[in-house]
Amino acid sequence: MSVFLAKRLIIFFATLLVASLLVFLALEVLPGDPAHVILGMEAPESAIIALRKELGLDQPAWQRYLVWIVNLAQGKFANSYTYGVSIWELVRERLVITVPLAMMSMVIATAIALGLGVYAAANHNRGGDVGVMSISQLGIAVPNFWLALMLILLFAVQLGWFKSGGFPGWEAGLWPAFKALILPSIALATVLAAIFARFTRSSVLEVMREDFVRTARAKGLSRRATLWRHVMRNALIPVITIMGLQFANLLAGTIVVESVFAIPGIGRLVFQAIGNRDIVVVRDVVLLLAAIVITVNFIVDMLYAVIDPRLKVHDL
Amino acid sequence: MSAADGFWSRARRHRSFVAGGALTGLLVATALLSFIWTPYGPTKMSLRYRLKLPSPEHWLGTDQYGRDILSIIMAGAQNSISVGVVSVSIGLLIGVTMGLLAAARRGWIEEVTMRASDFAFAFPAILLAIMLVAAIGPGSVNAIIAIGVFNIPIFARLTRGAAAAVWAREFVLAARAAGKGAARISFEHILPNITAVIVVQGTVQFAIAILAEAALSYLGLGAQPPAPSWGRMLSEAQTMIYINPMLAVYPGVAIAISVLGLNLLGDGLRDLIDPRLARQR
Amino acid sequence: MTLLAVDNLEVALDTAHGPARAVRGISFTLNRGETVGIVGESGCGKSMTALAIMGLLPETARARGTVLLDGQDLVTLDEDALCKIRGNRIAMIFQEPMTSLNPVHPIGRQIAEPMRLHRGMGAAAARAETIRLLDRVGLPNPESRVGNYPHQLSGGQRQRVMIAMALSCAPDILIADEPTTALDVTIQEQILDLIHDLVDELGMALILISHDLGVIAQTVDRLLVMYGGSIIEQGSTQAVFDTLAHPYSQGLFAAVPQLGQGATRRLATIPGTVPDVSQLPPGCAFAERCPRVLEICRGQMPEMTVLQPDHAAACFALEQTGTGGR
Repeated sequence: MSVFLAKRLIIFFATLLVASLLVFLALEVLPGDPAHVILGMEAPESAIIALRKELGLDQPAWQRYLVWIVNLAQGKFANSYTYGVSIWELVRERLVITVPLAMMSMVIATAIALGLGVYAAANHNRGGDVGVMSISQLGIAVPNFWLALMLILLFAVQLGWFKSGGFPGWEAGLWPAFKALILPSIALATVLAAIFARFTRSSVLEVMREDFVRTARAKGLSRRATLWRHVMRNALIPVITIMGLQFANLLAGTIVVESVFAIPGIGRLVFQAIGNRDIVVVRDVVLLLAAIVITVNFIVDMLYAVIDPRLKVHDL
Repeated sequence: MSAADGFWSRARRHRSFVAGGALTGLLVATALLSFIWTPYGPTKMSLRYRLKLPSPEHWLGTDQYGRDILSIIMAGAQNSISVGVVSVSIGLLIGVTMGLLAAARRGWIEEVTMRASDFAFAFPAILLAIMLVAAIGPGSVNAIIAIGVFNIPIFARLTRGAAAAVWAREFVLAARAAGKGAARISFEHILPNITAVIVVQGTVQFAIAILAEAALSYLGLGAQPPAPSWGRMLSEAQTMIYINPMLAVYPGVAIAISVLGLNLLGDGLRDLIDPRLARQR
Repeated sequence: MTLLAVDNLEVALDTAHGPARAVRGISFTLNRGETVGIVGESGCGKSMTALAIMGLLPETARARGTVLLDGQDLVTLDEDALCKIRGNRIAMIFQEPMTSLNPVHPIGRQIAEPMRLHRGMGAAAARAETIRLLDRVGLPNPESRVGNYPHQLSGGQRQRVMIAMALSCAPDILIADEPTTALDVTIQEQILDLIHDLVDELGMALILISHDLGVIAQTVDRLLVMYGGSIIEQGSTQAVFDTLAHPYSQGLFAAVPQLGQGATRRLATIPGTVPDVSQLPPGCAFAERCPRVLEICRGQMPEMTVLQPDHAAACFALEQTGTGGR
């Protein structure tokens, strides 16, 4: 088991490293001089050169990369070009918004999807199944930012139950803060729920065709008992993998959805930073997002090994 | 009565395929039609006819700049289709080649390719697209490139998996025993057998490309004004949401219908192809 | 005393071309402690018969007729009542031990499951009994095996686990559907012996289904030969083997290659192919391929004709040629 873990950890760190390299390289291509961004276009040449030296921009690429990585490992973050504060500050106040948002979406999506997926599989080829499949097709086809707009239209503009955007901050109280996140998390959860539901359904159907399900029935287990005791655990294994993969899409979705609802989260930060040519922010935040995704996938991998006994022995 | 005839007769009866085909056909027809005719020029502004409700002159009304909504929607179809076709083609051509290579050569080329594309999966695709577009500048061409780039690992991985399965089959073994080279085998034997799955994935990726382009345009990174784009229509409509909410509904419906059509088509194709493959085995 | 009485059992499958009659009115009885074999090629309806008895037919199939277990008709029983009988009074083991066990549950749990379900046993008692059963079916080190997962066992071992599972509630009837077909030849022998011994020891009735004549011959006292959904010959194993009456049985036995036959002699075959059950003729299903076919055979189903006290066949052209087995 420890060999398995060690192997996975190595891959994990290697992937993080490669991610950082890719992010760094991608941003090398970004035109625009940070010094000009900070000082303005009219600044004197000498000031530009001085600032570049101060920011370490005159060093060769590989050197800048190493400096960056080493600093990160020590927890030292640079200051944002546009805001002037430490990136860590920026990120921290936004993480506390985006992370709960992402988690709420995941929970909503999973709850809906598992229920619908199992229901559809149990009613295979009958009305319930067709209904679920149709709804899920719609869920996938609808762009999440449009759904967000429609939700605003219905619940904020027409019904007035929610505000049409913004986030009051956690200081304003637990309930007002959550309330502001409800519509956005529904918008984010919908696509995910649709994808998960279809996947759960097909996974359950596939497992129901397996021989050991027939064995379970032959032992005298009812259809329902067979479903819950024998089918579910086998069917959920591939579903968990998909959940991990979709987490990346979830985070990406926050970029757009946070813009729609004007929520000051990480997604919106990235987008604004790209527009502002604030390279250090983009660099660090993108790496952070990638790191979150890689970590989630790592956890899913581990979970997989715990749930599926066939894997544990195989890697020993 | 060849296998192809059997295919079409089954296809006609398959609900998803028919529905998807109809909707996709509608999308393509609208785009083609808009090349030669739209009710008004999609970029023609008019201060007098701003924010009109649907009427016989303007079937869907006008937006805050006086442009006829129906015309923009129709012209927007061109944008969506061209983005879809080109970006998927880029991803397909490069990705499939990479996948075929990886499956044919095994060894470290395969490992590196697959690790690289695995990694590309770990990265949120939209993020990559946004960064790329931000790096090289906004505009439809760049959006196409960005979306095309993130299609590459998807096709590479799919091709490699499917190709590897075919390589293991007996008739390929026979071809190798007869002395055929990897390149010839790849084209003559592997490719025809995996074409079906690639086509199915192609329709799915087309749908995803339309969604991605819409998202990019919404953020201002896609087709620039005055070129019509459904995504940008949505962001312009958002400012008018208290005044004329319907402006936001139409482009979304257009996107949803297009994506739905392509997804249904892909699903139908997948269903139709699978049992056929099973019979041939 | 009659334990199981199957009377005019029919199973119809819904297919794209209309209903297919997989089982066409078969009747037989089974007494306590009796062993019966059902022989036939793939598609003759033997598995369907077993599934019909268990009430485990697929959604697209419907059964008619009567299956009396100690006088209770299983065909008309509701699902809840059937659940109480399955695994408890009638147990079944299947052909593919590799895939018939749940890969994510330890085998101990799977064997204990019917005991906890039908006999209300607690965890500890069930575990003790499981170990005893594993030992009885010949699995070495049963205490350490209890926590094993199926993929840690070989095919033969998994089939032993299946047997242990089937016997856990001491059923009156064991149905074994091709239990050795997917196993290595060397293991087949062991498993068959195991089944034979256990059936003897526990006084169970056994229905053994197989397409392999050798397997049938050494394990069962009586046998039924099925073709095209009907029983075409039945009787004690000895009697049937000694004096084959039905042309199909004769063809079947003749087709078995014999040691020392000589490399130059071609294998005997029955001309034609197994019929499509959705397109069976109204008369005898074997008519198309029969060397002794008569006009009447095509239009009318032959009745069971008693040839000896323990031997009967359904054929209009009976002729005992004595080209039987060993």
